[in-house]
Amino acid sequence: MKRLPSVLLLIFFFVFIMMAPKAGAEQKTDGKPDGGTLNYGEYGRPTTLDPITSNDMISMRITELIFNGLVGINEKQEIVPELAERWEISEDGKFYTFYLRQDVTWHPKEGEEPVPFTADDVIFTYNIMMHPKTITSMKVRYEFIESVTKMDDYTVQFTLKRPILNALAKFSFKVIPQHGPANQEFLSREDPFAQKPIGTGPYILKNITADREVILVANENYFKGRPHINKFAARPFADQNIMSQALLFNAIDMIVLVNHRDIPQIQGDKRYVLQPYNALSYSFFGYNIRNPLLADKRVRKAFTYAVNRQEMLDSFFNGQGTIISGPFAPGSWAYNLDVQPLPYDPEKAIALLNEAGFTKGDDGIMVKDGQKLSLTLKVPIAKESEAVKRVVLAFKNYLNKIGVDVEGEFKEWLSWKEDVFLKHDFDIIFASWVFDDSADISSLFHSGEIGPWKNNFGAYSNPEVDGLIVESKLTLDHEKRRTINRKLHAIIADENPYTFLWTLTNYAAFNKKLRHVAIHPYKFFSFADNWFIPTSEQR
Amino acid sequence: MKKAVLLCAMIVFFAGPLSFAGGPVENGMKLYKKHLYEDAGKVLYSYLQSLKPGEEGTACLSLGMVYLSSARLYSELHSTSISVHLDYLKKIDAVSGKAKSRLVKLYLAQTYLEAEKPEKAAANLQRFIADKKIKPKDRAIGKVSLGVSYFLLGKPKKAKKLWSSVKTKDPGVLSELAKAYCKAGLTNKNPLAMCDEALKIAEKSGGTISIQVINNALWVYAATGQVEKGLDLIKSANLKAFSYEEAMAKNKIIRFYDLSLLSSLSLLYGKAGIKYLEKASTDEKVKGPALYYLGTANAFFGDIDESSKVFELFVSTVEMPARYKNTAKVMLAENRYLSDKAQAKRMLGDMAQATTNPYMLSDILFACSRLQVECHKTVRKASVMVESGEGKAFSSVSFALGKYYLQKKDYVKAGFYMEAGRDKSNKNKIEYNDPVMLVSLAKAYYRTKKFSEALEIYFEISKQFPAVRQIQIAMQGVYSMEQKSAGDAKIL
Repeated sequence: MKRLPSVLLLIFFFVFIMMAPKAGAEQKTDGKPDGGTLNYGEYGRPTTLDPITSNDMISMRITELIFNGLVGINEKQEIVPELAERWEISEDGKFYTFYLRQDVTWHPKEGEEPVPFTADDVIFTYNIMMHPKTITSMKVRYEFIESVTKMDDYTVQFTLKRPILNALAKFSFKVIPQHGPANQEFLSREDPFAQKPIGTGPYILKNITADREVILVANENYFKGRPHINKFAARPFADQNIMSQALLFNAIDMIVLVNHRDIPQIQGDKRYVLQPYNALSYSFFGYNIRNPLLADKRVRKAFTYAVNRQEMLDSFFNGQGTIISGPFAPGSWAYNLDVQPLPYDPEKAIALLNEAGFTKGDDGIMVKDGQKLSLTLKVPIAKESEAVKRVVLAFKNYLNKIGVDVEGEFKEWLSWKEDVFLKHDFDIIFASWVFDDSADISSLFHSGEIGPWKNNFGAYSNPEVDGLIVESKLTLDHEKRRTINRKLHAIIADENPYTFLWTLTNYAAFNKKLRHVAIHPYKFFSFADNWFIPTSEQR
Repeated sequence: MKKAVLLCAMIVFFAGPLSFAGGPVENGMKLYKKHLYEDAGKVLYSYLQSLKPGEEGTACLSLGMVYLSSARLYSELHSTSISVHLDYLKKIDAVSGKAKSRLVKLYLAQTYLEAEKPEKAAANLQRFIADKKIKPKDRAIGKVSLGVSYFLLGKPKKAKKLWSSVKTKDPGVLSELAKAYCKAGLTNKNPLAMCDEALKIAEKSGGTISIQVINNALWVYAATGQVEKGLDLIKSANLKAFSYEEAMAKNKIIRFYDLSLLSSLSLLYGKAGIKYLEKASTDEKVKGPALYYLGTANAFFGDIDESSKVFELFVSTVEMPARYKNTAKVMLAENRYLSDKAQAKRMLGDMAQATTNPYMLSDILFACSRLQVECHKTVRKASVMVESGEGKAFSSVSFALGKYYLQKKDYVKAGFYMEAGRDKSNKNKIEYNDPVMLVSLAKAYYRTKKFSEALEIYFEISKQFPAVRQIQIAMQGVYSMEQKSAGDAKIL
C-alpha cells in the first residue's frame, strides 16, 4: 500500500501533462447577424495563397482567413486550441502530443464531399514543409523537430531534438490537406494548390477575378461556428493614395495599412475608425553582398552615413516614425537600446569609401580598380506611393553627393520578388520586414538561409552571427537569449548588411459599419470570424 | 501616482493664455508646451542667473510650471516602474540552478520598498544577506535596505542597530546610508554632509559617478530643501545608467536599475516647483497663475490644507477666466474628501451634472480617479460627450475616461479611450501628446499584453526623459518571457 502514493507521484512527475480546455464543436452564440461583404484594400497582389511558400504580408493575411494551426494565440497572448483540442507535453519538454478535433472538414472542392481533417494532414504538412525541395523560409523555424508520429487518426506526436523556449507557439503553423497539392513530396509556387488553396479556416477561396481580386466566402461548416461576414474581397491597389481615396468614396470598406499622408484626413472623417496596430516592422535599403563593390562593410557603412534618415522621415512621412539602429524594431524586446543610429555625416562617408580604396573619377563617381561605384536600386511598384518615390529619389541624391551612382528601377511586385529572392539580380533594394513577437531574425541573417526564395537575399554571412543565432535558439534561458540578441543587434548594426531606416506608425482604417473589429498586430485577420456588419448596413 | 494626475488638466490651462517675456523665457515655454520639460527646465534654470529687472516673477512661474510637470511625470513613471519591475524581477527570481542571479533578491527587495511593502522587502533582504557568496559592498547595501524595511515596519531600534554596523567609505554604501538616515529623520547623522562626502570620494576615484550615488544624493538634497544642489547634480548625470550589471555566463548579463531614481526626480522637481511658484506668487503680475499652480502642487505633495487655502484665495481674489476658477472649485471639492467624503462626492456630482464644459468634466473625472470613487453619472455623460465631439477639449475628456478606467483596472476600456484621445498622426510623440497620458496608455497596453505598443511609447519618451531606460529594460524582459509567437518574418 505504501508504494501506491509513490507510484502515483511518479506518474505525475514522469509525465508533466499540460491540458488545454477541451474545445467542443461550437456554433457562434453571440447573437450577431450574419451577412454582408467586406471589401478591403491591399497595396499589392499576393504571391501565393498557400501558407508555406508565401513570404509576404499580403499572402499571409489571406492565408490567415483560409487556414488554421494546431494551436492559436488569442488577444491575451495565450495559446489556445485550434485544430488540436488539447495537448500534452512531456516533463523533459521533448514530446508534444496533440489530440485533434474530430469535427473538422476541409473546404469542399466543387462537386465533392468535404474531406475530414486527420493526423495524416498534420504529418503531410510537416513533411512537405521540411522537404529539401520545398521553397520556404519556414524550415529554419522547425529544425528543432526530430520527427512526427501518427499515434492514431486523431493524435500526433512531435519529438523534439531538444527542448526549446516557446515551442508550443511554434505549432501554430498552418496545416494544409494531404489531398491539396498536386505534388505530394514537395511544394513549389507552381503547384496549382498555391493559387487554389483548400483550408479548414473561416473562409473558403471562391475565385480570383480578372482584376486580381481575391474573393473568399464564409465557411458554413467552420468548426468555431460560421463567420458572420458572408464575403471578404481583397482588392489590390498599385498606388496607396488611390486606395485611401477608394475608402473615402466607399468603394472599399477597409485599408490594412493606411498611407501616412492620409492619416489626418481619415482621422477627421467620422465615418471611419483609424485603428493602430503595432506590427513590428522596419524599412531598409538592403545590399547584395554578392556584388564585390558591396562586399566591403566600409562601403555599406559609408552609405548609411551618407543618408539623412531623419530628414527623409520628417519630409516624406511627416515624422510619423522612428529612426532605428539595427535589425529589430524599437517595439521589440530584442532591440538594443545602447546602439544608436549612425549620424548623417557625408564627410565620414567619403572618408570610408577612400579607406576602402575608392577615389573620385573625372565624372565625380567613385572608382576602384577601374570599376565605377554604379549600382541599381530596385523597388516594388506596390510601394510606389508618393512618399516611397521621394525616398528613392532622395537616396539617389544623397549617394550621388558622395560619388555613388544609383539607378532606381520600379518593378511590378511579383517580378521584383523574383529578381530579389530568386535571381538575386539587384544591388540595392528598398523594402520593409514585418516580424511577429518572437524577434527571430535567423531567416534574414543566418548564412544557411542564403538561396532561392530564402530571406537572406543579400547573402550576408558572418560566422559570429551564425553562432549567436544558433546559441539563441538552443538556450532555455530567457535572459541569455536577450543578451545574445543585444549582441546580434550591435554586430549587425556595425556590419550594415542593410541601411536600417525607420519604423513607421501602422494604422488600419475601416468603415464604422464593421463591428467587433479586433486586429492581430501581425496576422491581422486572426479574429475576423467574429467581426460583423449590422443587418441595416449590409449591402 | 494618484497625485500625479492632479496636475494634468491644469497644465494646459495657463500655458495657452499666459504671455511671457521674450527671449529665454519664451523659448522655455515653447519647449514646455511641447512637453520637453527637461529642455525647458535647462533653458529657464540657466537664465535665472541673468534675469533682467521685472522678469523674475514670470521666469519663476515658468520654471515652477515646468518642474511641476516633470514631478508629475516622474511620479507616474515611478508607479509604472514599480509594477513592471515587480513582474520582471519575480520572474528572474523564479529561475533556479546555475543560471540564478545573486543580485535579484536585493533589487526585488528594493522594489518592494518602493512599493511600500516593507515586509516582503525584509524577507528578501534577509535571504540576500545570508548568501555567503555576495560581495561585502552588496551585503552592506542589503543591510542598509533591511534597516529601512525595519524602520518602515515600526522597528526603529532594530534599524539603527543594523545601520550602525555598516562601516564604510564606499560612496555607494555611504550615500545609501545617508538616504536611510534622512528617511528616518536622523538629522544628527547629517545625511547631507554624508552625501557630499560620498560624491567627493566618487569624484576623487575618477571615472563617472555611479547612478546609485547620484540617486541617493538627489533624494537627500530634495528632502532637505537643497533643490539647487540637486538640480546642478542632474546636469551631468547619466540618468539611463544601470546600477549593477551581473554577468553570469559568456552570454548572460542582467542589468539592474534603481527604481527610486524616478521618485527622487519627482521629489526634487516637485520641491523645486513649489519653491519657484512661491517666489512667483509674490509678484502681482503673475500672482493668479502662480497661486493656481501652488494649490495644485500642495495637493500633489499631500498638503491638502495648504492647497485648499491657496485655492480659496485664488477663487475669491484673483481675476481669472471662469474656466480656471471652475477647475479650482473642482480641486476644492476634491480636497474636502478627506474631511467629508459624502459632501465631496455630492459636490463633484452636482458640478458634473451642471456643466457642459469638457475641461471641467475631465477635471471632475480626474478627481474621481484620484479619490478612487465611483462616478457613474459623470462617466456616462463624458462617454456621450466624446462620442459627439472632437478636438483638444474632447481629447482631454477621453484621457480622463481612460484614466478613470485605468484606476478601475479595466485596461481594455482605458486603452480604448486613451487611444481615442491621442493625436493619431503623431501617436507616440510627446510633442503632440501629454506624456502622462502616454505613460498611462502604455500601462494599459502593458496590462493587456500589447508590449510592443507600450515599448514604442517609451522609445519616444526616452528621447527627452532618459531615466525611463529602467522601465524599457524591465518591460523588454517581461515581453521576452511572455510573448508567444512562432518566429515569423515577412516582407511587407
